[in-house]
Amino acid sequence: MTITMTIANLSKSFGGISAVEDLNFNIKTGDVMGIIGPNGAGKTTVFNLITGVYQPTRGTVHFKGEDITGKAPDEIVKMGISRTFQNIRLFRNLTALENVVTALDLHNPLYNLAETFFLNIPFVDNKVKRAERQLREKAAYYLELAGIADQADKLASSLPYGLQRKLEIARALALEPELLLLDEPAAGMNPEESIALAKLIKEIQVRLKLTVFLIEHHMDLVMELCDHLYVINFGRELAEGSPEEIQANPAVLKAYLGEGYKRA
Amino acid sequence: MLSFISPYYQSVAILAMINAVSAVGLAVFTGFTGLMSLGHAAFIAVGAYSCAIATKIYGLPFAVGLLLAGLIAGLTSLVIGIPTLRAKLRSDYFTIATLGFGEAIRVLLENLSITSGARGMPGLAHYSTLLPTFIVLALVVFFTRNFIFFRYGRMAVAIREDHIAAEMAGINLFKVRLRSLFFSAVCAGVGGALMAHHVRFIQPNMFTNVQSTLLTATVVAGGMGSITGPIIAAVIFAIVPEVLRVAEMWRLVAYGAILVAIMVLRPQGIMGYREISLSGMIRFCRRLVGTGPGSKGGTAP
Amino acid sequence: MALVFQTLITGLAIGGIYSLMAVGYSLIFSILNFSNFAFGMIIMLASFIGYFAMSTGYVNLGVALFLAMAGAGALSFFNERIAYSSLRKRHAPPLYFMISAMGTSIFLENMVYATIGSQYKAYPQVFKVPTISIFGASLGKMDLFAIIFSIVAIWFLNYFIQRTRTGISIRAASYDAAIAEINGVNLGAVIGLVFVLAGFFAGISGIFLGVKYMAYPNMGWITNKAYVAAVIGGLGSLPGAVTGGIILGVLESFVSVYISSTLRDVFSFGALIAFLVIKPSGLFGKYLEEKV
Repeated sequence: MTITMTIANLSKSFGGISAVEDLNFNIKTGDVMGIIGPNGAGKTTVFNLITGVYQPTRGTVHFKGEDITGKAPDEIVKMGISRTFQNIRLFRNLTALENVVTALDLHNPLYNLAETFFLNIPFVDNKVKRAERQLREKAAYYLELAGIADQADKLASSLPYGLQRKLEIARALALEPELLLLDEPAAGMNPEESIALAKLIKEIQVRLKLTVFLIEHHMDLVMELCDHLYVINFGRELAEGSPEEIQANPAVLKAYLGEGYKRA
Repeated sequence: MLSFISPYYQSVAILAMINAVSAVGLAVFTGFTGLMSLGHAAFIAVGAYSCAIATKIYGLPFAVGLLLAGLIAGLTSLVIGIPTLRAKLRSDYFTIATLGFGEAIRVLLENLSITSGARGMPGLAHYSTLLPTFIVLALVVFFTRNFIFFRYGRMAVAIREDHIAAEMAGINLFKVRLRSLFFSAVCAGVGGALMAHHVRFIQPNMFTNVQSTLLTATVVAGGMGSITGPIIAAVIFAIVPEVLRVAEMWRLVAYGAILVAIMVLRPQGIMGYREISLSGMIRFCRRLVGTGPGSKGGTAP
Repeated sequence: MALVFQTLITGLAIGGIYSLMAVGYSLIFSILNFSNFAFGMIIMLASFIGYFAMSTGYVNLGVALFLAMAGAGALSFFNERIAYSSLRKRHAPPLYFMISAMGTSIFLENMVYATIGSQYKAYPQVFKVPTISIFGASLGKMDLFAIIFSIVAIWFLNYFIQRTRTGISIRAASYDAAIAEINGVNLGAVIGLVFVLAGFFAGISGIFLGVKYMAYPNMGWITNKAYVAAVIGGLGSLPGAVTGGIILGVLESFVSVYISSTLRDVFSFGALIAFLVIKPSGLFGKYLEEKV
């Protein structure tokens, strides 16, 4: 068993107010790990700390044994971590396919700056054109993985909410990550849709051999999908364990799941 | 050659093309990368002076002068671009910085001896005739197309659309923004060089904020996120005032009103995010004739 | 030593006006979170209002001040209603606000060129003996009046924002417009009011600039210093705007006397860029991330 990510003593405060405090956990390679907690518990802050959007006040993040604390977001992405956003952040005026192609550029530098300037002559077959065709085919594959192949030429902003979330997943996959962070992938979905999404995520995870770390409020999805859960409340660790253990944990039930929660 | 066109119309056409060169450059920066510069007049000025000094004082050929103009304007943009873009300033802070930079460059031009200070440089050769100007414009459009609609431009567009998501797609904001600024300044510099050898006289006070504003108006009216749009706008902005024979200041009043009106009523401008492409035109013509795949029956071939 | 003191006094006199301009500009920045490039032109128009009022011969400085404030307040209000309010309602990106502001600015400036002309208009003399002497340095009476009036105006503004109910709405809206609106703040009215207040400051500074340097359409050149001062002090901060203005005025005064008056503006804009790069939050402000 190998460890993909180790979080140690991770803390972040904003102007003296602590958002997360002393978080410690590991993400095992090949697992689907969930982080849950009530609204405002600091879950998205954890994502922002891992991906370099914020610098931690204290603590470290190790990815595949390497310290990535304090690295810039684009460097972290290059190392193999990609994410989606809670409040969807697509390139809105680009088509679905173009959104994915943009992400593909990172690990597929098929031509360089000089080639794009000088070789790319209109109406003549050239290296740049061939590379672009190749990229579009590859992008179509990722759209298909996310189940939105038929939306390729639609503007991202014109897609319905649920499909925008899937497009974000497709874009994140095109960055060829080893660790995929999903921030509330099922937000705004009904129970059937979120179960379908759980199946899709599982399928993608197996097919691409990913490690997944996700934030989610839909308990059905969490229980269906996750191998391991980390629970935080008010920015601090509350519990850690398998979904079954978490469901039986009285502190968690009290803080998060609520009195009346029953597994559907 | 081309002497069947009267000198007056030639002059209007040359002016339109020169404006298009600089406007295309700014379109890359504002329309595609999403940053606003109020200092582009400085890059135009640097280009104009570089070329004028190269041809007049050092006797170099015009083509070399044009290349030098682009290169030196590009390097000048790094002076402001590296510190401000590295600091990842908010976009409006960046704009204020370019405003200051543009004015500082103008003051320097007024006080350097090689530029003959505020008196300016008269008697420049008339190199920017119809054909050379057209060739330069065609090259600029060609390079711009290759830059902006492929891998490197995609990164810039991603930043315009959402800089956080772009960063999270592995895009280095600093590098990509700086590259856009550099490219844009090169175009502005080349435009300035053409201008110097069209008007044949340059002076620091020709390159004020007004120039930057005009360029922005051209890009905004043509449509941010488009290359052909600003070219169309550059042509309209060169021709319409000539036809209507309006005084300079009324033109500027109109440009101001147009900028506000576009932002309020039609932010996408003429073309917004769309292009007129050669293949598109061919398709359109086929459809008109009724043989294209888009046509519905109609005339039999 | 006497020269140092004189330079300092001169710097304070112009710094006071920079402070006034920076306060108005900063007010708008704090609520709409964008840089209103049209503000300088409103100052210029206020300067012309003052000139035309006073050159009739029937109006004294006090009435001219009142008229300029009222006129600039109205201009500033309509500036927002015409050029920004619809952008605000559809949550347009900051780039669009800046373009609209720039359009307004070029429109107003050239409107003046086209209608009034490009001549410099000198105000009639306000004081018969224009200067007084303080410890050997001479200070214009008008400058002294400007400094005192500025202090009073800024004190009033501060009182209004800190102590009154409306002031609290303004602060709430500048902290988080959406949340303020949910809590019953009438955002449209508050923003309108802020533009009127900013217009008042444009009016005051327009008159003082006009008396000192005359009124002319190209004044935007000086009014740009409002941005520089506000950035040095920290955009969106009132004490910052005041301090930034005074620092800039004194800096320019010393550069003109001891280095070169032609390079004065290069220094100001150099200071601007240095602050933006090294300390974008300025002396007093908090650095606001762009709301995406």
